[in-house]
Amino acid sequence: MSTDPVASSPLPESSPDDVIVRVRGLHKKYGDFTAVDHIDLDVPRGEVFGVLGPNGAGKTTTLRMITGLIAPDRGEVIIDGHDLGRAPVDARRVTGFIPDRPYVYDKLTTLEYLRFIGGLYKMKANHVAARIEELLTLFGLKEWADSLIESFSHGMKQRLVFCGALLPEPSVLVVDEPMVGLDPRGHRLIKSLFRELVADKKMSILLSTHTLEVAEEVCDRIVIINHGRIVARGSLGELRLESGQTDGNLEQVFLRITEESQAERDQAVAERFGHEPGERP
Amino acid sequence: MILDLIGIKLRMVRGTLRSDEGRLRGPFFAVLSLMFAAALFRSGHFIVTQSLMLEPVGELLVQRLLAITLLVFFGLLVFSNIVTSFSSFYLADDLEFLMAQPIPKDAMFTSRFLEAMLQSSWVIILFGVPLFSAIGYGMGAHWSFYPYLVLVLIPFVAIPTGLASILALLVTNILAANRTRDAALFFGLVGFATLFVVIRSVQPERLLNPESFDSIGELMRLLSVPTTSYLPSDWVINMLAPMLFGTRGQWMWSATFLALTPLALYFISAWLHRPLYFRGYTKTQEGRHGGGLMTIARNWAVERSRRAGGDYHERMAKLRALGEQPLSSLKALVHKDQAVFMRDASQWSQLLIVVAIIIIYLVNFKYFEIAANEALLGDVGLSFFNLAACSFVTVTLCGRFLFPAVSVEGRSFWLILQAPISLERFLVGKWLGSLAPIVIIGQLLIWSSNLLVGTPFLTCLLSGIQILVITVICAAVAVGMGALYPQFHNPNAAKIASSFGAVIFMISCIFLTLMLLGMWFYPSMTITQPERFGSLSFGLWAIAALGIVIAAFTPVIALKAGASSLRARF
Repeated sequence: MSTDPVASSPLPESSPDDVIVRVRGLHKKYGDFTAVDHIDLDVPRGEVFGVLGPNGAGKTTTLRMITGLIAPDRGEVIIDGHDLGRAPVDARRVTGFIPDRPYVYDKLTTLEYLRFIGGLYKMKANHVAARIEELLTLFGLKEWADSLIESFSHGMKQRLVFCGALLPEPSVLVVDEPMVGLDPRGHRLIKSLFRELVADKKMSILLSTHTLEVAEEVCDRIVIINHGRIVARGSLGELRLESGQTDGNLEQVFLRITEESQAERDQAVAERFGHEPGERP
Repeated sequence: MILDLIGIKLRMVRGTLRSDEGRLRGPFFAVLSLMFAAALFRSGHFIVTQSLMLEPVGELLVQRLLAITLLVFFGLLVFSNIVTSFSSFYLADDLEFLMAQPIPKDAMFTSRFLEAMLQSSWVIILFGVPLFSAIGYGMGAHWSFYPYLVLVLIPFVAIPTGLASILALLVTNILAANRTRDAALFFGLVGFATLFVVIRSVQPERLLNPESFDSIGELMRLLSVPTTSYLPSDWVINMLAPMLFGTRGQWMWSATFLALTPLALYFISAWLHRPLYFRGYTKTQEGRHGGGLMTIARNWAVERSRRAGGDYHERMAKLRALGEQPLSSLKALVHKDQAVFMRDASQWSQLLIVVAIIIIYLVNFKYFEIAANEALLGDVGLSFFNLAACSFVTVTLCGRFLFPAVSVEGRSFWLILQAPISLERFLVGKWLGSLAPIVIIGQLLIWSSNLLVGTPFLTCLLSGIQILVITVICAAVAVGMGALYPQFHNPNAAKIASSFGAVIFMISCIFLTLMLLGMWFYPSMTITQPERFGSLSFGLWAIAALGIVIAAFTPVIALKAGASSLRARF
């Protein structure tokens, strides 16, 4: 679509009070490779905000920097008024994270795991008990409360990670590929849960996904990342207009926005690796 | 093909050294290893020159000490090769991928053989070469001795690999699949016990005090008896003897055996692997899900610890009963670590080794006390020796159990990074949570060994305090350095405990504890035996005070350095 494959999409002005996650100039390099290239992002309060992009675009790195799992080389992340660089503990206290792969302590039982999370967040004991009861019922894990996590399937572990992330009732939930390993019932549960969390609990959700149908259904706003930069942002309607696919679904919009010729791709990849197109890294 | 298979591993090592962290840590490790090798060389040389002064048995004494050292190395190599062979031939993670590739059987065998040999033998390079070189230097050997030594050591390290690969092959084929891990543990322990018995029968401590022999004749008899016939360690001595002692007794015979045995073992093993390897490999894969003794024991322990706090409803009732009280993050970390440790069967075999270390330590100490009393070290020296030996055991335990503590978080570490706790607090949790068992073992060792030889109470008390301080410091350094050299991708705590980072921890911690014990030695002796040591100069008190300052700051520095390194890593 674009003649400049790494063109950035400008950030619209917004009031700090309306924004729960404010990202400015976020930049990350691995050796000579630029994973994320000066990204600016505002996640509005009380919305589901989607991050889309092709494989290797920099979505997961961006989300991991926002949750404090990876330190950026440059740039700042402010979560609910807390600067992640200066006050990481305060920023993390209001953030929940669900990674794409549910690695948890296999040798703990479900209950032990959730109690452990409650301890990390220094939650009140009776509140932890109430939340555990509520979440285990919601995610259908109550019967497995005393079972070791190592006996769980991938999908069950993913449900447990959801329970853990939601236990402390964070202001913002960051979710990387929420649907991996979940069955159709799980898909439906998560989609309706996201909408409920936003509507009832006033939670904000930042999610990255390849499942465009999910993004289309639940996201209020979307950014599309390609080659480490944001190439489009807005509501689905705005993206449709930008891509010229006024009647298209999100998949068509996405493909149009991320479309590029081989030469454009070579140019962008070369820039990310810090060398000339055609030159071997 | 063989070069490709080995080459990929070497390229992985090169990749690690080229990475940002490798660029710094590689040279650091090299410098520390060189320092350690130099210290070993210096001590070896000192012992050789001291022994040579004992006329007329000096040279025989050196020969005997060399024999014992080689025997110990051989035992360690057998033990290490058994564990490595099971792991690299049957349990390694990359086997699943390699077995699906069109790799010829012989190429696969040879690459694994070489890998097991290299992996098990690097300890010889680090510890053995400086020691044997020191003997050569002390004996005034010609320069050609040193390259010749390397040539002799290569078949020496290959023999245990050949034996272990055949043993692993037979065990995996003969025993029921789920007994393989039990068998590896069993053979390892039997090897270790045999070595212990052989060394004890030689009574090496008596050699340190020749006056304990009733007559020179008895000493000569002990010195001239070969340690054990037909052992590769003896062949090596016979090979080195012409260059060191100018004797050529059984050179030809030993050279033949030393050259042919590894070759024969390699070919027999390769020949047996052709029809039997795949069967053994398949059985071990089934065994991963089987019900071996370890699995049965583990299931029992898991069930016990899982039910310890009652069922779901009871636990929830207890939680509710705490009311508005906030849960402690430090307690949460400690409880989590304890539960995970208890339920991890791979940690248990290591507990058996701890028991073995304690028994060997106490038995050896008693012998040492009898043999070396007064004449060599005196009671003061013996007391220092005991403190140093006990510290060494503490360092070993910290290296085995605390150093991997950060790494065993594995892929779940994202939970800690994302949680609202500082990495310093996380490391403090690791440190405090694992301190109690190490402190108990340390105190048990120092008090029982001191009481065993009738040490006065005040000395026992001071030794106990010093070991307590050393334990607390070593535990913090182990956790801190474990964070400096984490291996989150490695699921095996035992392997993490023998990684490069762990060796660096061991070396630095041994230096540190010896330095602290040295700084506190004279003041503690003045307190316990004022009539013998009189009053101390201001300088010595100042050094002791400096030791206390170092002891107070080391844990803080170690944990802070570990936390910053983890932060920089992500």
